[in-house]
Amino acid sequence: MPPLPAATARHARFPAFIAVLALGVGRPAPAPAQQEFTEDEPSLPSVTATVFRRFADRVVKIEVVETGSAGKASVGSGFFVGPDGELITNYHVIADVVHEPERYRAEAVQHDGQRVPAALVAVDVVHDLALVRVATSPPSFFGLRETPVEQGARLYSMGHPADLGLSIVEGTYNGPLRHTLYERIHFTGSLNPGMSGGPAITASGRVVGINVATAGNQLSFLVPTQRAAELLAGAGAAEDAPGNLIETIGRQMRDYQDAYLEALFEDSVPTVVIDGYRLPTEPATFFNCWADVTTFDEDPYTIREHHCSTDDYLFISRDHFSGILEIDHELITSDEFGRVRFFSLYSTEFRASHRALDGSETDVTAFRCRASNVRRLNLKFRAAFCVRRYRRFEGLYDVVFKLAALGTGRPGLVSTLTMSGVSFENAQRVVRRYLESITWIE
Amino acid sequence: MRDRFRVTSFPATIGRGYASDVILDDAYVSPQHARLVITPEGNVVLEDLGSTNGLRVAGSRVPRAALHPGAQVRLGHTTLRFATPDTPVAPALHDGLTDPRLNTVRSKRSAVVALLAGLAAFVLWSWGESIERITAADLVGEAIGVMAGIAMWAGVWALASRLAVHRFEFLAHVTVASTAVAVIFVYTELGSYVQFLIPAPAVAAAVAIGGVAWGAAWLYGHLSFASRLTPHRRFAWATSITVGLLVVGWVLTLAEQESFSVFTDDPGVLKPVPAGLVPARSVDDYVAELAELKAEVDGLVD
Repeated sequence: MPPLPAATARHARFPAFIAVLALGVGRPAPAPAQQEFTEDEPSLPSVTATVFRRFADRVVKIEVVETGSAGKASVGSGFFVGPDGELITNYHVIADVVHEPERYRAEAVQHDGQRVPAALVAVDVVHDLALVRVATSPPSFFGLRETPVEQGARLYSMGHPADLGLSIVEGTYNGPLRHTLYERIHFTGSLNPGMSGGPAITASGRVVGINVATAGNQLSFLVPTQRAAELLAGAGAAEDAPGNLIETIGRQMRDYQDAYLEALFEDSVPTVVIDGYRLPTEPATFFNCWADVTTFDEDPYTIREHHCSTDDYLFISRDHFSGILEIDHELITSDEFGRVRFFSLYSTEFRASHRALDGSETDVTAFRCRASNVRRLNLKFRAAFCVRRYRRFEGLYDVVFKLAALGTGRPGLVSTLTMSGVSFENAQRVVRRYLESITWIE
Repeated sequence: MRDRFRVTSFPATIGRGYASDVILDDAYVSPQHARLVITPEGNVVLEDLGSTNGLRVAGSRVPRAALHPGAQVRLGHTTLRFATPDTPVAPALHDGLTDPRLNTVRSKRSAVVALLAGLAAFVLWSWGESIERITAADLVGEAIGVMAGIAMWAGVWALASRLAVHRFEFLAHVTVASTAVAVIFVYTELGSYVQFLIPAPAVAAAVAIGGVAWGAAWLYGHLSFASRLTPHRRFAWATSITVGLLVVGWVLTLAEQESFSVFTDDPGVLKPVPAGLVPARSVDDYVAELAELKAEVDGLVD
């Protein structure tokens, strides 16, 4: 994911003030009638240039190097946060080193060109942060104190986009995202791959967030500074063994899914009525829901789809993403088909594998499934529960639960609940609540 | 064995010439090749009469050979085996092809009835499966396709019959193939309903085995008209071949199951049965049962 540039809001006023000052002090107002542009007219001092000059020393390039060929496999950014060479970067920048330490190592390239090995000290996989340490002491470093910022403030993001050298990008602070599962700050600015892990700062050098992702078109995201502060405060001094880091990642994921799944479906769930069925929708604020008709007018049947998902995901490793929740309802009606052909259509939709969760053989097992006919109040369902386990992390599973409402004389309903990176007990509980939240009211 | 000669008086001459007692129509046998004599002791001896290619016993050329029951001697390109009159022979085989019960299957009437049944079953099934708009013309086109397919399949078997039993038996093969087509579509549909009502792996396995039985019966039907095997042996052959194919198929699916996939299993076909008739368990029972899956998937992690 490309990191985003951060701009500080507060200091937007400052440059304007400076600019005004500079203009007032440096040059007499020219006579209005004869204004000529001459080459030695001084330009306004650029705040961005000043910010860059003041803080470039604190930002490094982080390279993940493949030990066999000694070539860089990936590039990201990081910044100093302490006098003893502590660096903050994204977890996804150094994930390869965590999962394959015999094959990859991390190196930091300082602004003065010095290249030093970087040791992994701690990770926070939920917030996509990592703490690494180099042996050198930086001339200066960023603090991680919480910085109050207002909407629209100017921020500056620094990093190494596309490995083109340390760059600075101006942007706007647009506040924390309200409806996400993973904390993010909305930054409007052009961040590009390679800037991940770099700091987004105010003009005075206060870190507001850490570059983490972009959706293109100046739509970018930062991790809030407080999380990096917590990571730094909670970490030990020494390099942590890769095995311990893997265990830590597993524990962080388990704790996090326990936290956000705890309330899911426990209280009353918002529902929507479609074609006579009352169906669960937007079970929590971190879901985003869409609906549409997916067939054409000339088709002999109509399929209406209602879809809710968490928009973001957890990066675990290059081939493994987790932490996604999805609800998908499909309602099938037909005026033209008799019962037999309607059920052929219904079967086809039910059996179609709409979306397979990705994953490689080393990360997850194959799915194991069980299908049954289940009854609940005035409805009967064919329910298919499929589960697979994470190979490297204890107690974490991906679950795909699919159901179809049975019986003639009502529209077809195919409903799918997908959960990745959850404990089995939570999956069972949520599946039960999900089944209980679907009713037929007509 | 190409022929048998009975020799009643000795000495008896053997050769290609018309004057020989035993005439061998072999270009490499001399006109007067050998002579069968009985010695004073009562042994039968074959003597070379100065032939071009001689007598060969076990590959070596000999001027005379003492014959005991079962002895083989080669003259030219013909091998002769000596046997006494009391040598036992197997009883006659039953000609399965002349079984009168097969005559109904051979008739034109059964072929027409079976063909219509097969086409009807296919067309009904195809219409039921279609989820696009179809016209009568589409269905007629499909029926013609199936008819052509049956005709070609029956034609291949008819050729096999011609080679094996010197009769085409084309109509009989059409009847067999059409009946098999009708049965398989009816059986598949019934099987789907059963699996829909009871979605257990054991039920799916039973339906699959039924399908295998159908395959064996179909092969049995064709073998009845393409061989002279008795019903017993037809059954044995049909079953062995079908089971053999099944084992190969099973080994291949085993290999595929071991391989990794990101896809979930088929959740099963849905059938238009009124909800009241569908056996179903409670949500509690279902959710509790899911714990077995956890054990299964945990077992995949070594």
